[in-house]
Amino acid sequence: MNNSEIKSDFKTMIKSEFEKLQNSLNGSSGSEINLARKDEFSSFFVKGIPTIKFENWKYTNLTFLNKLDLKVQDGSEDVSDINIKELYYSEVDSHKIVLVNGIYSKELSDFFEVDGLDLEIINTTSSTDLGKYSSYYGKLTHNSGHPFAEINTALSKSVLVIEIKENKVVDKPIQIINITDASKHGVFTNPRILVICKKSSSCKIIETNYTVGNNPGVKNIVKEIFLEENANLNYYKIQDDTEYSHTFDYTQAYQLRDSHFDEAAVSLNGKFIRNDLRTILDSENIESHYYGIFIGSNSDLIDNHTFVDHAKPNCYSNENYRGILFDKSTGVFNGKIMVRPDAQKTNAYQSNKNVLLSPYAVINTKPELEIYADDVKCSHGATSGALDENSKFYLQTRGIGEKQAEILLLNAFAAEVIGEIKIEKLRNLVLSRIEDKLNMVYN
Amino acid sequence: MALLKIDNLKANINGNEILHGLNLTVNPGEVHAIMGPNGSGKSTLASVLAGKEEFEVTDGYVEFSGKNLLEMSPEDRAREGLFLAFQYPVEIPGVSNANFIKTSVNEIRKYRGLESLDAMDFLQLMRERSKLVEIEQSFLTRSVNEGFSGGEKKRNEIFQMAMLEPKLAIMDETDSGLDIDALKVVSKGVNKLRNSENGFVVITHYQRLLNYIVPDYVHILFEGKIVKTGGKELALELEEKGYDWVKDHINEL
Repeated sequence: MNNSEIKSDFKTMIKSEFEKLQNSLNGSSGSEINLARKDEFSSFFVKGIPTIKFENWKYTNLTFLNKLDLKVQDGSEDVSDINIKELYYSEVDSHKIVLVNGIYSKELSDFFEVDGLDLEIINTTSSTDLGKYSSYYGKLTHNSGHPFAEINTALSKSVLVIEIKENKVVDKPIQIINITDASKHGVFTNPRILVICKKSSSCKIIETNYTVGNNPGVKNIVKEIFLEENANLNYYKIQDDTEYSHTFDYTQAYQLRDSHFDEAAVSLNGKFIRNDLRTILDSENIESHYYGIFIGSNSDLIDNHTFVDHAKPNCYSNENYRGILFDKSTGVFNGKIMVRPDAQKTNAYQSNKNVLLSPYAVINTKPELEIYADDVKCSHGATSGALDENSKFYLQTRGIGEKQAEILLLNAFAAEVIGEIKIEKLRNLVLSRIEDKLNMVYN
Repeated sequence: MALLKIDNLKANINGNEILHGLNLTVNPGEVHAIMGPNGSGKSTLASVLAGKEEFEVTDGYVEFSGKNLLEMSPEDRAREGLFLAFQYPVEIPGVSNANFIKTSVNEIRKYRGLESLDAMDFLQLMRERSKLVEIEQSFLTRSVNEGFSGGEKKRNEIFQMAMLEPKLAIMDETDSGLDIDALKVVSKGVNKLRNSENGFVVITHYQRLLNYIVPDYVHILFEGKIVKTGGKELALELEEKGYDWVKDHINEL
């Protein structure tokens, strides 16, 4: 038997990669970073890859991971083929930071001194101490219980830190361009990002994702986001990737008094997307808004798991997710809202509307409210169904063909969420990509 | 050639026959009013002509400008020049009136082998036609019918009619629920659009509308058939004697 033909399963691959990493560490193996790495690895290893028997993974079958031929990859030797100017969302006027397989590429980035912003790249295999970032890094993912966040902490070798300084308003959006280079072989990557918004700062971040090459790319990205007092952050995550892309995205935010956090997840293209978005509202007068639009075709799976954790009184949260599902695609929305005993006068709202355009398309939507305070306003609603026949007929009686009528209605359905994107250029690009996608599916 | 020729039309919904063999001919330049009590089949007739799927045509023939209407999709009927002003116009959130009407105008132009109107020409046409029904420009940027009052919705229907210039317009109870001012605006719009080449079928429950849109013919629809046809004076007679008179009249026959 030829040994090279035996594919190891995913869990074994993670284990051997973890051991390889441990063996390569010299002086830093006893560092705080590495202790966390070991903890998170063992926490993962005990559970293994979640099966559909895990409540949080009930509708999201991960057995495909064992079928893909993957290598854990950090960075890429050759990025000369990549020109970020040609990337679709590059048109948005922004400071551009490029990560290739999770590693910062100075060569590809278009980023110079930005007033009010510190950009740091920390190599977590050689550093023994995170210095001023030690009170941030890993503090939110610690005890997440999330297997992929654990894998990321165990294996990631570099952290991109974006710190927005006190009272500073960043002049234009920051664009984080995640490139997954799968041109030579299938890859599993672990990008890691830490965003710190200091007191009264304000910033907009766009995250775009591209997979290069025709081999499977599995990206396991983890973001920790801190919003200190009165800080303001808009984070727009654009998942408009290729059919070879598979994404695990774990985003954990922590908010303090008077802060405002907007997250929009625009999932347009990709074979597999699992987003976990969690926020702890840990002081008063905080606002959190989550928006999402997902469009599935073929056999795509798009899963959004959200968790809004109201820990203190007088805060506001709102979630609005919309799904459009064609062919044999599957959508999952699970929205957990926790209102802890202290969190009186909480306003928490959630809505998930879905349009199914094929008898084989599936949506699994579930609100999960846990309310332990008695003076709160919470609401949730979920709908799923076909397009409204009366609306379609009305358009047809005005000479608009059936397909065109459906495209018009679906564009409008999506546009209500896209309207929340506060960067006009980005908003228009997204709208036109949605239109392209709908035209493609219909023709 | 007649604009519309309906011959022995029978139609079902959910297995119940609503139209029991209806005949009607509309020539260019004519306005026909169809009156009848609730449940007589007025709105069914409008829906069948516009091509709504729930209605099944079991017998009869409808010719529109020399073509077999019942074989056409709803959009092709519109492209051939048929227009239905809805009794209950549909609200479409997220689609602006302007974008909707522009798509509509250009789809119809495409079907007829004409080039799309450019943005400037389109804007000018919209401005001109919106005056006909006294609608403000802000109306055009709002989502189609969303949050519109009853009167605004009906004016929007007539505005669309003015933009699309149909050969034949069917107005399904456009007057129901309108106050007198809105009724005057809507009627004025229709009267300005009337010419020697187009035709109107005005479906109504009340005679009042016909003071403003004066018909050439009045038909009484009862239990899925046209039971009486006359001039505009028939509407007055009906108003005076009520629909019971129709019932008795039927029994006499």
